[in-house]
This record gives sequence, C-alpha cells and structure tokens, in this order.
Amino acid sequence: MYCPNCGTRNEDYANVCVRCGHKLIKPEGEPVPPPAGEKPIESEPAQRPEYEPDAQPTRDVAPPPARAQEQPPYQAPPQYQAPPPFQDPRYQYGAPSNIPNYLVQSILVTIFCCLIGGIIAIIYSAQVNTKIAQGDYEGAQSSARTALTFCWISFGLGLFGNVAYFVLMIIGIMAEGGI
Amino acid sequence: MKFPRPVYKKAVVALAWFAVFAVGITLHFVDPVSFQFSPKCFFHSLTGYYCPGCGTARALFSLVHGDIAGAIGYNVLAVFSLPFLLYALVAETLRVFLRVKIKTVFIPAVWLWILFIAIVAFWILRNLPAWPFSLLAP
Repeated sequence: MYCPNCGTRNEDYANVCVRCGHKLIKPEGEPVPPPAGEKPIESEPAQRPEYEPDAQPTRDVAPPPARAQEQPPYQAPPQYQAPPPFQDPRYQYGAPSNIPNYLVQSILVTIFCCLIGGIIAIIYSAQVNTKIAQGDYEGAQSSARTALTFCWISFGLGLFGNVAYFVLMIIGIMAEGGI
Repeated sequence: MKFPRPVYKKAVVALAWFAVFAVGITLHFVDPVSFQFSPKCFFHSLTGYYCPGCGTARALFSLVHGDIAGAIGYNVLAVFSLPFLLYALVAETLRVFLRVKIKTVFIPAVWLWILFIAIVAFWILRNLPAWPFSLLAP
C-alpha cells in the first residue's frame, strides 16, 4: 500500500510508513498476516513497472528538503548532553547537588598536608556554592575543577615531601649507625 | 585508565575506611612525638610558623587515647572538623555501597566563606606568642 502522507510504497502488513513514519490505515481494518513472505515478493515485480514512473519523480524531489528540515532537531540533543561530566543518575535530585564542591577533600589536605593548597581549594569550594546559588552552573563547575586541582597538588606535594623526608631519614640513619 | 564511576567511588570509599583504621591503629601504638619517622610539616620546617594543620597527628593520638581536652589543645580545627568528615564518609558509604538515597547537603556559601576566614584567622592567631592565642598553638 502507499503512504497517504509521502506516497512511499510500503509492505501490505506495515503499520507505519518506512520513510516518514506516518500511520498507515488498513483498507479493510483487518490486520494482514505479517509473515506471508511469498506474497509481497511475488506481487512486487508485477506492480513496480506500473507505479515506479509515476512515483519516482515526485519522490526524488521531495525527500532531500524534508530530511534537511528534520535533521536539526535530531542533532540537537548531543550538544546538550555534552557538558555535565559529574552526572550520576542516582544523585540527580536537582542541579545544585550535582556539582561537587570538594569541601571534604579541601579540609582533609588543609589538616593533613600542611600546605597552602588546601586553603586555596577551600576558597574555590566556597566559590562553587556561591555560583550555584547565583545559578551560574558552568562557573560552578569550573571552580569545582580548580578546587580539585589544588587538592591534588597539595596532596601530591605532601606525599612526595614526606616520602622524600622518610628516605632521607633512612639514609641518614644508615650513614650514622652503619647498619 | 578509566574506571566506571560507581567502581571508582566504591574504591575511594573503601580506601578512606582503610585509611581511617590504619591511622587509628597506628596511632594507638605509635606516639608521633617520640617516633622518629613521623611526618613533618614543611611549612613549619621552612618558616618556623605553625600552619593550620600543625598538631593534627598529636591531636589524633590524644583522641585515640581518649584525651579530648588534649586533642583540642593540639589542634582545635582538626578536632572540630572530624565529626563533619566522619558524617561525609558515612553518608558516602551508605550512598555508594547500600544505595541509600541521601541527598548531598548543600551548605550555603556564606558558611564556607566563614569557614575560610576562620581557618585563616586560626592560622594567624596560633602563631601569636601572647597568652590567649598561645592556647591555639600545638
């Protein structure tokens, strides 16, 4: 049968048009048995020569603009899904709680790493919540990234320094005592 | 190497609990004052001034041995931030491992700025040699 919307030829048992998705109304209302594989194959070669010449010209002209109009709405969603990297479905109750402010990590490195990095991280952590309150979610996320960076710098320097100190102590003891 | 997010979170939470118990058990047996290899504060080593984190190890040692007053004497900031850190760890554990839906507490930004000012004030004041402030020094 032919689609009443775009004129594309569809199988007799099809419910919607293969090209435009328009609902196909069955002529007699009763569903045609789907798996009748032999019938469409036999009927197609016979019908094609008759209808192709009429249908082809209109079909060839029409589809390209129709596709061009339909494509943009389908391309849009990926652009909106790209930005949020912190999304976990379980934590989505609202935008604000989605953006971590790394306050816990900041306090941890402030207390344990004895470096200024932790205090700078707390500044950015506070900035995250300030910007969330203002509705500036992109700014909040960039502040969150900076806070995390300072946490890691502070942690890395603290770890490196203490390991170096430990190694130097060992070397010093070995030099003194002569183990 | 990139892990799926839930796996990564579970690993972090498990590591945090391991760290809590490792530090607790270590400090039960080892006194950071007399122990030769106890980690040093580089800010203190370089400048001679105390940083906001100086005294944390001694404060935790006192806490592990039940001396809360002594712990506060070593580092007020560390002692008072511990309950909050512990809450964060427990909440994250429930979320990640038991899938309990605990909403993240959104602290109004004002309180974070107050915290920042308090830490900087604590940093400066504990370095003053006069009497009321010397209580803050470790």
